Amino acid sequence: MTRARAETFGAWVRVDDRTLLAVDRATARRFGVDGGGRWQHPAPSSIVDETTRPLEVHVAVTARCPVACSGCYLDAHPDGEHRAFEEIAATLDDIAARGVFTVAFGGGEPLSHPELPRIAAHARARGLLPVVTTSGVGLTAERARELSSFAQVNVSHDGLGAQYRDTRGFDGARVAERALATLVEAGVPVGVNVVLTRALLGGDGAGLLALVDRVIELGAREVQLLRYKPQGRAASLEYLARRLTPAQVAQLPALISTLVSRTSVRIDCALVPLLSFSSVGRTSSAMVGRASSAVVGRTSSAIVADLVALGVMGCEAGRALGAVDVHGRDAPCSFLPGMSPADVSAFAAPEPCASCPVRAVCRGGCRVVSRHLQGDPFVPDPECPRVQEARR
Amino acid sequence: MDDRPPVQLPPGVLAVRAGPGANCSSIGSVVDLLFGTAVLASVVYAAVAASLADSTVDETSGDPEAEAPGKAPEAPEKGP
Ligand code: SF4
Ligand code: SF4
Repeated sequence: MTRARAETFGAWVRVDDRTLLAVDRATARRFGVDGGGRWQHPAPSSIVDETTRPLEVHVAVTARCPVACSGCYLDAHPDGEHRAFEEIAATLDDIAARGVFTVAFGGGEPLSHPELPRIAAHARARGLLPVVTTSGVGLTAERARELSSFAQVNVSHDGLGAQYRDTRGFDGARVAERALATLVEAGVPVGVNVVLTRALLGGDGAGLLALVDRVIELGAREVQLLRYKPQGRAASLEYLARRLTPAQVAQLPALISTLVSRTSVRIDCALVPLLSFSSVGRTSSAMVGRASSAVVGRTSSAIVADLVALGVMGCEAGRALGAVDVHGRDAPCSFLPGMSPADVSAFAAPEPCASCPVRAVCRGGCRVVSRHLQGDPFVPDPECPRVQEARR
Repeated sequence: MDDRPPVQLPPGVLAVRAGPGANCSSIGSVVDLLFGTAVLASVVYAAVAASLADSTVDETSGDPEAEAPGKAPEAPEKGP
């Protein structure tokens, strides 16, 4: 069923499991939406800054994980507690009433929660689109069939063979690959989450390309690239050795361009500043990869327009994104437990972000990285090449 | 300089988030179109046409107060 929520510009409308649209007021009316007080004033010229309520909420269902990766952002353990079904159901009722579209379940290892299929069914019954991310540990063919309520299951896979072990501290590549094949076999839509680390990209990105080829072969229909973030057990000195080098950051657009020719690629909110470097004050071939002739030579305003059209809105913590931790507490995003969504959403990044051509789709980069490296979440992302250049 | 956005969406559509976005930690967006290789626009056209033909719309306000006439809607509210 179509689900719609009025906004100042018109509405967000989810037309099917794979398509969430921002539409203007005339189109919203065709979907039967009445904007009421939201449409009392003239429509804004852009959707940027107009979505102040979550479209997506990430809900932790458990603090338990049998493998306890070295970089776990939640600090999950094998003896962590599950959150009770009734409490999770109450959270889902609440976020559905707030007009949220998608609920992404995480943990810990969500598959370890015995009632995960029931939780997904409850989300569906409330009009929410349930998705989940798993390491694949504990996934059997029977369990995979029980996951049919999910719009998509993403399996985390951070490198082939030893590369996975080096990144996560446990030998999980085969587990992830088996899980992928099992889910595909069960007819569940599957994507893959890949955390970009120094070890995975190496000197030429070959590790990432090989990994993507492997997961395509196994039936993954999209790859989500994630920035490595210093939260939980990853907020350690190790972070400095695992994050991408400046040379690897410079290589990213071309690498993504290559990946896109092989499969569907998503980037996460935190990657935006790392991809924007060459658009900012130097050349306009940024965000898009030097290898992509379709986009080279475009202005930063055109690039921003494109990103907005694709729903890329940078750091959405506390705005289009919300999170509920395993204790039921609200957070602006999963990586910022204990912080107030209102405080984070109110952050207006100072220079060099304030005058940055891509500020509207970046918002000053990742608060998690700023907090870890600068001791203050409310400063520009110190790993952004433009921020680094401004400091020189 | 080519200043035309390559992302072509159907009339009335201001943005599209493609894919269900399965991730428990960060929000993600498909960027294939930026790299000029995807055919997202036609998929969006088809999805819009199909859903307009479907009369069952679950209209969720999520913010009843802001929908009262005369109330400015911009104030950020606490996230869930
Ligand atoms: S300068 Fe700020 S707004 Fe611009 S890309 Fe860097 S972090 Fe983002
Ligand atoms: S702080 Fe912002 S950019 Fe960083 S992970 Fe959270 S939502 Fe994404």
